[in-house]
Amino acid sequence: MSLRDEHLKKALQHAPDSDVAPNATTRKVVLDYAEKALAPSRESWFTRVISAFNNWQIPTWQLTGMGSLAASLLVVVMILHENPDDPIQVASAPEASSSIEPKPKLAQTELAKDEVNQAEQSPQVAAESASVAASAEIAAPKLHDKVEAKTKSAKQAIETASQATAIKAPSDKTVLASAPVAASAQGLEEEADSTKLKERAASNEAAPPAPVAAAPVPQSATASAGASADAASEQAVARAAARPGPVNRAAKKMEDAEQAQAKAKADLPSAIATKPALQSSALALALGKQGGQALANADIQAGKLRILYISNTAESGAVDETTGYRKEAVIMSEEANSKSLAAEIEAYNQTMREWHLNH
Amino acid sequence: MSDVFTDEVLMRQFCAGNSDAFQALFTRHEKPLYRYIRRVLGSGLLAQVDEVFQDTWLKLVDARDSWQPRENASFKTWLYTLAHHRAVDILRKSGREVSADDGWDGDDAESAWQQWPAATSEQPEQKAFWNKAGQQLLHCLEGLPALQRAAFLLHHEDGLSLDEMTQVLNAEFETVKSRLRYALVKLRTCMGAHLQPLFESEHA
Repeated sequence: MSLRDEHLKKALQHAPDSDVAPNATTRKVVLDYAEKALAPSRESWFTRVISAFNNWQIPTWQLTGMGSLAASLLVVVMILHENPDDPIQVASAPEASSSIEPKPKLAQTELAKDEVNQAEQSPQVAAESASVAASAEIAAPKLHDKVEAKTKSAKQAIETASQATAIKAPSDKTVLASAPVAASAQGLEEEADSTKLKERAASNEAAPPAPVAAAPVPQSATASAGASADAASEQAVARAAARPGPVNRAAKKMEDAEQAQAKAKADLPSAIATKPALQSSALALALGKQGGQALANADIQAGKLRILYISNTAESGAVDETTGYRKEAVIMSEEANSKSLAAEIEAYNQTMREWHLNH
Repeated sequence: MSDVFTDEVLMRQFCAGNSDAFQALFTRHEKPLYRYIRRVLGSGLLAQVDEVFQDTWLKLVDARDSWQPRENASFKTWLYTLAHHRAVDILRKSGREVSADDGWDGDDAESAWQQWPAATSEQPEQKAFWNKAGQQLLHCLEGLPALQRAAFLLHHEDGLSLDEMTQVLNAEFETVKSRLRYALVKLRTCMGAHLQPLFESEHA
């Protein structure tokens, strides 16, 4: 017996439905779908970034870890960037000691040159420091005139420093360099403005006022003048340290960052502990409590048509091929009975599909 | 493009990003595939025909990266496999039986064709007879189990070989052969009983 019947084949060719074709809408849907499937790259970069973020689900413990890491990184960057050469210590320490201890002329000159180097970051401050350094080269016999000159230059240094700190400096280094000058200058201003010191300097003819930063103190300075300058310098240093400068602010930031890091570490165990609770969905609980068929009937009554499936993540947007209903993920906790839940979901979907076929 | 290239070449071009190749493939197969789905589902599920047709093509687009041309599996075989599985799925969900081997073993009614005009004849006066025969054949197909119907249509309408049919129907060679034989016997009986009187009256 032949398995290909020519009579039946010919009859089939003459069947009344031999010219049927899919309708235009179906045809368009298929062709458009193929076109879109080939052109995913035509989406804008912004859309792709947004969708990538939407699909990127990070567990809480990972977020906490990344936060801690970022905080640590921030602290390190602040330490390295804000205080690379420790300019405050370099500028303020000699300021306090140079006013009380007589130093060799060569050493004082070097200190003054250092001051010039530090102040090079700010031209105005540099000019002032240079003049001070130049004056330090001379062990002055006319000390009274020199006291007045230094007092004047100290006032100018204050103005310069205040301008430098008021204006946003192009680099942090400039701010750091000018700040100690401002601090020391203000201390000196208070010292120099006191008529008591001026009178003492005038009467002794040899006692220099408290020098500006690394200004030299002549060997001939009297003990009383030195003691007075020492006390005044200590007070000025203390006030400068108490003033909110860049170093103080950096220290405060470091403290804040350390506190944030400690807090993040403290939050980590609690975040991990809450993870299983997040995985249980209300839908899974409802399925276990009411049963799949009952829940499906209730949803049908409420006009809520959907198909369920078990998933570990809350995906959305998929559509069931058979019914065209929206697919919804049931997120199941680890301790849930997966077999019974799967059976309830199957019963739920079966009820939905039967309803779909009958309507 | 559709006349020059084989299905496999077009499919390869489509996988490489050529949408015109897909359009050529679609145009080449849309009518035969649509007819096949419509006849397998039968008149009771006409409303589902477009859905099955559309799902078949969408699945093909989605699975294009997994398609690999093989020696014994053509593009056409793959396409009809997708369509057949989807159609059977709909038949099952609708509650219609899809079993094929009902064990019916009637007489071979090949002798009925002795009264029919030759299948190779193209005489214009016989056109009405064949139109009537085509209409009757659709009616007879409705009486076949779905898998026997599918076997007959794949072999006679779409020209698939028995080997190709084993893949589409996901069945053994002998099983496919049996289904086809059952289908032929039933259809010959059904067609001969209805059309012989008509043919005799037209020639009287």
